[in-house]
Amino acid sequence: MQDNLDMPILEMRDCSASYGNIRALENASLLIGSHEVVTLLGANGAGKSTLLNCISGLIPVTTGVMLFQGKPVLGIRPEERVRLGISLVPEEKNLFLSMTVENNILLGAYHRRMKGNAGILEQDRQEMFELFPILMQRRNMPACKLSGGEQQMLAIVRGLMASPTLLLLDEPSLGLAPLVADHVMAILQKLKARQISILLAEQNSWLALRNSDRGYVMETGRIVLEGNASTLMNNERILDAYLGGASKAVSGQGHVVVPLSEGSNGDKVRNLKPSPR
Amino acid sequence: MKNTDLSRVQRTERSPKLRRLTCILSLPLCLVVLPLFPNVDYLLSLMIFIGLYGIAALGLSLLMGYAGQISLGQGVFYGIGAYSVGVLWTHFGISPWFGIICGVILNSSIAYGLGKPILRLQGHSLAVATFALNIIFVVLLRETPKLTGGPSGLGPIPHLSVGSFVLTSDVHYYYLVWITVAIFFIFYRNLVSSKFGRALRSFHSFSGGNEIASATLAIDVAKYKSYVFILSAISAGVAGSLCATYVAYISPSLFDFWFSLLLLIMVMTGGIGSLWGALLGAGIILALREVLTELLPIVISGPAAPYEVVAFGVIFLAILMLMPGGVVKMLMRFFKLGSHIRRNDPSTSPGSLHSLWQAGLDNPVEDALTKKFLPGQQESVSPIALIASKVSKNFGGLMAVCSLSMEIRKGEIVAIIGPNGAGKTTLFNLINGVLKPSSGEINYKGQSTTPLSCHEIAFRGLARTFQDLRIFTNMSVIENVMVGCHKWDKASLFAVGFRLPSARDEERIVFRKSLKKLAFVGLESVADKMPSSLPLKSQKLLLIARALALEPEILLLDEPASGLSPTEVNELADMIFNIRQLGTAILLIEHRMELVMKCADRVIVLNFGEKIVEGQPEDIRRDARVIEAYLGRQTDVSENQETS
Repeated sequence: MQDNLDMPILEMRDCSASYGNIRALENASLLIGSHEVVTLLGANGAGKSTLLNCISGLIPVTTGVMLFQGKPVLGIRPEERVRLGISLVPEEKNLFLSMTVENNILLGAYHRRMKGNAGILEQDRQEMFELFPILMQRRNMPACKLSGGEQQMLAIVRGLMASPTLLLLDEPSLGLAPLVADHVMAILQKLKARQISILLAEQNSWLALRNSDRGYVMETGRIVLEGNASTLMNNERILDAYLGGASKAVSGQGHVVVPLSEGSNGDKVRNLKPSPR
Repeated sequence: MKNTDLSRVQRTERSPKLRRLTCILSLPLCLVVLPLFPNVDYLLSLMIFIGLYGIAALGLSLLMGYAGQISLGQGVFYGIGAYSVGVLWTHFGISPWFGIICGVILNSSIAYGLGKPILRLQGHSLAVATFALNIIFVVLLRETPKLTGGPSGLGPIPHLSVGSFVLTSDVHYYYLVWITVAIFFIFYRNLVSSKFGRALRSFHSFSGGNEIASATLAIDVAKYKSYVFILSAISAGVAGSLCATYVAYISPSLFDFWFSLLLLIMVMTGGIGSLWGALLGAGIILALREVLTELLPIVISGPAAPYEVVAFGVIFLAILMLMPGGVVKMLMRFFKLGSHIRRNDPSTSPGSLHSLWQAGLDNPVEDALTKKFLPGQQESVSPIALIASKVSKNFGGLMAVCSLSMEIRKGEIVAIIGPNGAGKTTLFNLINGVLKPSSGEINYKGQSTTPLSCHEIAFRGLARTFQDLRIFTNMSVIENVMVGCHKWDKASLFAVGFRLPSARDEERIVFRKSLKKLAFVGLESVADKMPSSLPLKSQKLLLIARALALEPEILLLDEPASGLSPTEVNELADMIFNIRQLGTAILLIEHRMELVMKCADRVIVLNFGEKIVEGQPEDIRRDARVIEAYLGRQTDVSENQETS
């Protein structure tokens, strides 16, 4: 798996972004290997969505370098990045609510519409219905009539229809029944087998780590920890400190110092937190 | 610590406040001394018209900016005001003062009658209806010469008089009109910065409100829209009446569609939703018209009238494009003044928050006052709070909820789980009246909820939160909760509009009550922040505080834990237990099993709209059907349990 990292599909080096005066992302560096599932963990407001939006181009990166398949992508518009193979499933879903389920799915493949492609698109669409049979039942309903969880499935499907090489999922398990959430994770494994790389931001850290190869932990806009998923999962106390502790940080209690020695088997865990000045 | 924080905020805010005060005071002062200058006759008559249009524009601005409705027929109300005076005088010799009152009554009833059916509809039905009304109105005026004088109009109408003093000169009318402007302005300003304004903003969907969320907080949306429409009609009518006595002759062409459109343009130029903007817009547009009539004949030889319209249109387009949000927004930005909505509100000004903190949260007198508003809560002794019997709901061919029966006892925590699309949220919508059941019945406090609308059910103590939050992003955290207190409000529109002591007391009580609710969920320190600046967990807590403001007997929580971290879910569980301590029963939709297992006394599992199992959390977890339809591998649950 580490071999994958020699030829990463995405490489971010020291990327920063801000909303107005608020620094939302600070010097974030991250690697995603080819056909690898990477989880982004962190409390609410830690900057996970910002990072995903930066990769998809929706939020401009102010400083830093971002390479996708070895080529710089920072100057490229979001819609062009979809063509390159970066597809985002946003947390707010952003479905086309007045359109039918079917049309929402087809619009996901908008940039692939061309002569001779109809057969492939139809095949993909059928495959999506097989992934989530309930969408087949609801295919002619407008998206606004779907339940919250069904809308989440539709958003994932729409993102997949772009036929990405890098799929960005923002809180894919949000509002999904446990069975379906597991199902989504199983789908991720299938995608991985098809050479698709996946970066997902999740609150449900256990569900996500169980199904990932590696993980990054974010806190107040910075990446503070990275490691193999299994290592991270076994270091409950580290995760608890960051994920639980960040909620304290929000209320102004400052940062939580993590005793790295606790990660006894954490040889793969790197603490990326800058030393306090 | 909180006190010092707040006083710091207060100090830093003081200097713009002072600047703002001087800005605001200098304007009326100029207006008062204007007639004292020599050779201002022309300016005075222009100012009178600006004032008349301004009164009507204030009403329209309220309607557009706060109720989100457009009227293209304010000319009708203006005309009715004018013709009430005219007709009563010329045919019956009745005093114009009485004519003004008749106009107000007539306008209110027309606005009520027109608004009642139309304002229930979404979209811009009102704009179309009022447009049609305006056309009909002008035709009627022309075709009933016996009553209205037909196309040539009515007149002369005498000037207004008080006893033997007749308001003959422009100076008299100038003061009369601008005092009226001031009264309407103050009344509307007080309204929009009170509970009334909060209610309006809470359902104004363009600016961050939500109609359904508003209704679940016991706000009768249609009633409030209708209030605003009536107020706007009265505004236009009074302006029309005054106009009739000033110009002495009235004819149908004064009140045609062009008048209504001009008024709309004034409001948009000034800035929708800003009362200053309405007056400023009226001033700018009328002054512009005067300038153009003077200027164009010099620039263009020949008839200038067609070019006038063109030039007017171009200038209006330029204003719209260069100053989106109107002139007032631009001026505010220029002088670095905050938007008037946020700053004027007593509840959001840090000063008042500060003083209330110092007064302490638990004031026995206030508590007694608060209790006065509470209806007898212990009226029913039945241990069952809500019964649903064989409730079904189908959307077209889809059975969303199918013959479902359930009950909730007082103080119980019941969780509803089930696959996505199983009908859980639909069930909530049925219980709180957003949807009506296709068959079956829901009984709340021994009464069927079928004939009740959503806000009536909320009024009876049934509160809910939403999966997609639906926080009112156009108001501060505490105001969000204050909207929830709407149910306790008693002060009349009149008392609120003129800030009578009763309304002020009530506002204080509501504020304190809301602060207590915020303290209950631990958000009191961010009371004056805007909710969008809060992290997700705080937003979810705010939703709960807002719902608790209704002091509900049943609280419906729709996926309160989604998107929260495991630690936060634990904190939420404690919060839910705290709410139960208040005697509130809780119905909970949730996919995070750690929360369900920890909190629920009883679990109901839905699938395809039907109840498949009901029982203790432990039994549910082991039930084969539940595992198959919902939970999947059982290890999931136990694993989550261990971590939580």
